[in-house]
Amino acid sequence: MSDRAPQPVPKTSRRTFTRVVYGGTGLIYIGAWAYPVVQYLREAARIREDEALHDEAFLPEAQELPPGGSTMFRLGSEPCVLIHHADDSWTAFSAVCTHLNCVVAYQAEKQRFHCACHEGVFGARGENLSGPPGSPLPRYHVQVEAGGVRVRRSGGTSGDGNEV
Amino acid sequence: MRSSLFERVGERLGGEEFARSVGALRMPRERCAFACYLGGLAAFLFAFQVLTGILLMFYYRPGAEAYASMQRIVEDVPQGAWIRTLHSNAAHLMVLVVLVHLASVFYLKAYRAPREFTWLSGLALSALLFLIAFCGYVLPMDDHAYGAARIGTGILAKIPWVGPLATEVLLGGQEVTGETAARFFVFHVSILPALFVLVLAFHLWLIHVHGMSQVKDSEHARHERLFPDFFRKELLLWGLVLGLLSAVAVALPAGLGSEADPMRPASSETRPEWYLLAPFVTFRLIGRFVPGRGGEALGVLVFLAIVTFWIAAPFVDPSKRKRLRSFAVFLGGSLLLVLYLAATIYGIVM
Repeated sequence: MSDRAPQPVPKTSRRTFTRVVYGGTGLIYIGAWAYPVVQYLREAARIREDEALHDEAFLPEAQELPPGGSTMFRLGSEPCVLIHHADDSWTAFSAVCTHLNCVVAYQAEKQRFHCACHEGVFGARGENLSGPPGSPLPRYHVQVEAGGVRVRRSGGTSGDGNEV
Repeated sequence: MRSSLFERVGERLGGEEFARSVGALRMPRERCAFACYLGGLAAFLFAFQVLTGILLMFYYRPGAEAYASMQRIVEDVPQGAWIRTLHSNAAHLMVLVVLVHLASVFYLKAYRAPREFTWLSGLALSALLFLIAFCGYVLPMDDHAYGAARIGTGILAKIPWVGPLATEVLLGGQEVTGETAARFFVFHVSILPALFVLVLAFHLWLIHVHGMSQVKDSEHARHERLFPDFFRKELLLWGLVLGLLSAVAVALPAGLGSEADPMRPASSETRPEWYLLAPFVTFRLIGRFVPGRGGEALGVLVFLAIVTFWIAAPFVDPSKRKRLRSFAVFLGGSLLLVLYLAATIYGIVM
């Protein structure tokens, strides 16, 4: 585009201009009210987020979990499953179905997770096998310590990571 | 095509019909036209109270936790003090606007035939508003609320025959407790507002039926349509009022008293909100000259006489042809309004 070329003057009618000014003012006004109201309403969510920020759980009772057993626990506010495999290895997963947030059940005899809401099935490594779920269950990092088992959200990989 | 879709939906919803019948309401453009904004402003404030009230319900917990939940709203929740102050100040403003609305309708003689029922429903709305405001005042369960609940239910208990039973039902027992807050909450957020909306719909319907009362009857009186001419100015007024409410709520957050304590004796600070100061002062004054039951009975009679006067006004003064009656009603109403004002001011300064 050349600088010299005469540009067509955009035609804005008085009516359109007025509409934009009034509408814009109205929107700004509504926004000015909506912003503090959203802040007010988010308070409860903020507290839950704080809770959810607990990235680590220490489970003394997991010592008594026999090989082949599993137990539900919370990581912050998130329901999770800790599995003690027959070969004495440990894994931990979020128990929240990646489809629509139902809590899944670990079926030790079939070595799989089953979500009863919409028939979602995940394998023992959290991978989505059948049904509607489109992604694997998030996997968390497990560390066996003296006096219990420690689960951390960070350091775990989702799906088929294979540490401890 | 935006407008055509808009128009087609409007056709199916009866938009044009609505605009023609409701929007064409003739609003007077006379010297006293400010009076025409008062009812709309009151209705707008009611809607505002519903919205801020809903927001407060997200955190308020009726019952034994009432005070603690109020403390959380005022101290911890972001913008909680702002929302609570908006709700409280808008309630005061709504009472004020409604009182001025009543007075202006009275002085413009807009209660005359055929608008008797508009006037009566307006009185009913005012009474409901006072009850809603009173119940709301109790909900924080601080020391002010506690005193108010004791006295309010004390008045109720004086009603012959049904009083004691009604009081027990309202208190949720024999004493003011968390249970009382829970019951006042039900009245404040569901029963009374539901009644208010029904009576308000009736009130607005009657305005639709009879049109606005015109200040001048003459053919030459100036008018404008409710929609969009008048409504545009109304929107501006509402916006200004909201801005003012918000600014005041930011600058002067409403306080929360200390938690209600049944063991703490009432102080001279135990007094009603400004709009109930007049009956409060009147009863105290009567009690000074006519002590005991006699004074109480006299007070109730005075109260009933005042209520009867306002109810009877449109029937005593049905048209401008009856000049003497019209003047008598004007005089009586003015006397009551001046007394109300004087007693309120006396109550504030005493």
